[in-house]
Amino acid sequence: MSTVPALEVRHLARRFGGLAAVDDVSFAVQPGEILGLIGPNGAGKTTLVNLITGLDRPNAGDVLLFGQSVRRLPPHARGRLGLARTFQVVKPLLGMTVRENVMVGALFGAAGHTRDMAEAGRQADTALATVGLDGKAQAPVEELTLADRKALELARALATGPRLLLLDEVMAGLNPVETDAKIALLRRLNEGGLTLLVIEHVMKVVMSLSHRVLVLHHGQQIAQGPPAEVARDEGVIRAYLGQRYSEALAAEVEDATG
Amino acid sequence: MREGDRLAAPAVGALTRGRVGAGSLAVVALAVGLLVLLGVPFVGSGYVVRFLTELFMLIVLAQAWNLIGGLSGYISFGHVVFFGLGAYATGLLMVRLGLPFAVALAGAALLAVTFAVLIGLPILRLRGHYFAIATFGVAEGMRQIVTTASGLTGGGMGLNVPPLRPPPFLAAALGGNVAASSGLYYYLMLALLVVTMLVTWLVMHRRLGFGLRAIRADEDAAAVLGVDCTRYKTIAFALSALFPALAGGIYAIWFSYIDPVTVFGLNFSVTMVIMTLLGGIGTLWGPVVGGVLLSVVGEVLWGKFLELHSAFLGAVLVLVVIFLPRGVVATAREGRKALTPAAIRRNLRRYSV
Repeated sequence: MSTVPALEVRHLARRFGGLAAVDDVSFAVQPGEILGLIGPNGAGKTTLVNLITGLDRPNAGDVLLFGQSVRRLPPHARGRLGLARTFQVVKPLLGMTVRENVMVGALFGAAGHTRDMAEAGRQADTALATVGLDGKAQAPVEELTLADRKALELARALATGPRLLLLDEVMAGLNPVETDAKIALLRRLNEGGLTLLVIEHVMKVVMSLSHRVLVLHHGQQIAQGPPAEVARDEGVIRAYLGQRYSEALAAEVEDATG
Repeated sequence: MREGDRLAAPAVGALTRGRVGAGSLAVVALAVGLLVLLGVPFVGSGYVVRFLTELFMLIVLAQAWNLIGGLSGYISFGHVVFFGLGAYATGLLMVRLGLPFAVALAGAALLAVTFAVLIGLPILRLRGHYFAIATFGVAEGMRQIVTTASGLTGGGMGLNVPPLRPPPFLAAALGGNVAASSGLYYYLMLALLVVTMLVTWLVMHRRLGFGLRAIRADEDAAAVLGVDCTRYKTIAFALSALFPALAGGIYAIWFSYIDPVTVFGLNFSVTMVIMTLLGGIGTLWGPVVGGVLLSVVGEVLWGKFLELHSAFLGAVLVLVVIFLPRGVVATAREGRKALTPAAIRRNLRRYSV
């Protein structure tokens, strides 16, 4: 039985002038999967996420969400299909409290969003508790630290009730303890049935969390496969990892995954 | 709910916090305030009744501007266009087609809302200064059209609008304290003000208001969260056109004479902005507080310095932007600490380019 991928990207391309930010990229994310997306700065990771969410339009190629082409759909319509994302450069909704920020997600997000303010408030509280921000629900977002703003991005995305969540560097700026907690949280969410596309700069995070990893370099995908395999890939090592790091990482991944 | 607080009528802010005592107190205060206003034509002088009628009108205009400028962050500098359209459409429907006032007013409201949707679809794609300039252009353009189409509108000579006959019971009830017609226009404007406040309150506490505030903060983030930004901005723009159009229609029969320079005047557009900024942009009570302050102070100065009145308005705008960028309502809530030199320096840093 073949299942319909949660996300399928077909020959996607986006050029900015002479620069091919995303160059003929194709991949699929299966329901229930965690796909890691890595690559050095400027590899085209965030451009790819913008293309998937509809904030940017491709020059060529197609994006399918749950089997449906969303090429012509605006961002909010893609959100209603069950797609949510966080922003690498956080976008807290200024002038609103933490709880109100998350309520926006509950009021407008994916199918099953609520019009009832009290219900939206309850959903927001649940999402805030999930990411550990429940103590700061009434604070104006202006008062949040960067780590908390990252957590808010996640809570707001979760409140939309997504089926597929794109995480654009939610670990950046976290200390090791916070990182471990966040990894555990993402695993729990995934076990609850949420499909994840995890974009990370921190190699260790992606390697230990993802079922499969996709490597972008200068807009092109240079490798795709299980973490241990990708860590040993010659092209990836040349472009990105470096020989010594790769060996250490491969050993670590094997330890972690047994 | 801190933010809810900022937006809510004190009554509801208190209720949502579960402080039913304070909440019912605020409801009682509102009811008493409304009763006092209802009683004014029975005891107040003609001057007071006239002053308040105009104040109600200006608050309606400011609150309507607040829906698009305050909640959604789209600063319109030509909002008078909807007031002018409402005035002229009401007047023309009454004069040229002989329609009764209520029907003409409804037609004018429909026209203004339709115009807002049609003009909003292109110009709501603009942001910041560009939107402000576009709205200014629309208002000036409309003034020119109405001036030029003199065959229909009377052009620069203006249009005489038949006054409304007040119902006999009103004349009897007022017992000659003020003219029955003054009472009629007073109550019409007061009713419009109450409706405007109620609708604004509803918008702020419903899904629509949350969507608009998300749009004001960040349209990309709002869109990704599922907010249909184009649709929401258009709805907000249409709503913010509706109330000025109704105010314009009432103004037309109140003054019995309208001309393009007055009802499409830049003065109204600027006054809406100043009142809202002074009181507190994006808050329910901001336009009310700002309107009362500006009208009372303006009335005092008007009597003494007729020529310098406009200079005074400009000075207020500058001072508000520097010292109270979030308005009187938010500043009063923060108390004295909002007016320390450090806080003012912080304002200047945060809100300057």
